[in-house]
Amino acid sequence: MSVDLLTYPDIDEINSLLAFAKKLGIECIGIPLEILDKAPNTITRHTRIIPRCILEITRGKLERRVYSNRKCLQAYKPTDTSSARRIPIYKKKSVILFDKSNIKFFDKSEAHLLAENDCIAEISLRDLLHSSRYTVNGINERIRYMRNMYKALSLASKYNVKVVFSSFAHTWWELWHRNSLICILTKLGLPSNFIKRSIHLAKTLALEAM
Amino acid sequence: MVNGYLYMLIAISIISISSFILSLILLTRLIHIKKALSLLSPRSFRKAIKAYEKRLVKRYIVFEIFDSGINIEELRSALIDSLSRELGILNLASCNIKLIWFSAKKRCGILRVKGPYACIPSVLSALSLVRDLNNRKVIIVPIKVSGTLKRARKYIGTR
Repeated sequence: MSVDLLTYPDIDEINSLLAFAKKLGIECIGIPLEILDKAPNTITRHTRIIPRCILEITRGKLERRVYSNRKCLQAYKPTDTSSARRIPIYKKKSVILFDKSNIKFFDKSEAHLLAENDCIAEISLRDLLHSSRYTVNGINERIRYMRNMYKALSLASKYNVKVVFSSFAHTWWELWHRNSLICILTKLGLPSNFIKRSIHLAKTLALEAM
Repeated sequence: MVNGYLYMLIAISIISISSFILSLILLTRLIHIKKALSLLSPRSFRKAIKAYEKRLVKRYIVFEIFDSGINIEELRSALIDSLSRELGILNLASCNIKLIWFSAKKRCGILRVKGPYACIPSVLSALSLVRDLNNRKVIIVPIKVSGTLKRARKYIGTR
């Protein structure tokens, strides 16, 4: 069973994305609740859908404990360093989402905290596909994200952090096949048992959420 | 009595000759082991690894292409163009990539890579990153890596 834990399709493109996911052999796909609520009747269920909820956490929000109470697989997205450090302590065994904007918070101490509190880091692959015309310090954003991801993943494998990968796809061509994911991760120098464990973990998370 | 002594002498001589031969064999073995151990010294080991890395390998990558009405000529130029963007010109030159076969009906193709062994994971990851061929959105999925063209074709036939 192949799983994509998080996608973020436009309402018009949900059906094409789901149909294409089936073509790629993806059996479970995660879609945020806000999109599922907007288009409940138009969805033809080619694949099983996992309801997702992304909570952007700043320091203040975390302290006031503003969470969604609906049944779904929640992911906490830290927006600053302090919230990235506090989420693993306050919400143990949670899923923490890292993408282009916050992957830089995944450093040595964050990896140590994640491993200690048995948290799962969810890494978005969308930004590997999007090149930008604008360069930051002469480095393309895509290369920069790849480099940051490499650093984070090498720390994760060193500290034995649980990691899952999701496509965060907005359209069908941003989806990832399992083989492609394995090829990229192998090229990044990750050990095979780490890759296997991350794929297996995504499956178990999907089964728990459904 | 004499016969008994004779038999004893013969037995002793046989044992001494066999032990001599055995010791000779062991000595030659020891020399071989020593040679083998000397090969494991860091310098020679590094040399052997370098020689292995330099050796060119030929691999056939079977890939599947999703959502495209593209033909082989179009694909040949577009694929190399996209791969050069992902790999870089130097890597592309060393990897020696060639599109051998493509079927639009089966949406499958075979890509030959001829270069140092390090090329294979690079090409596989570059193929996975290609999402744009001639301004058409596609997904390319590497399915299998084979050592011979025959086996690669056989794999496509069985799918």
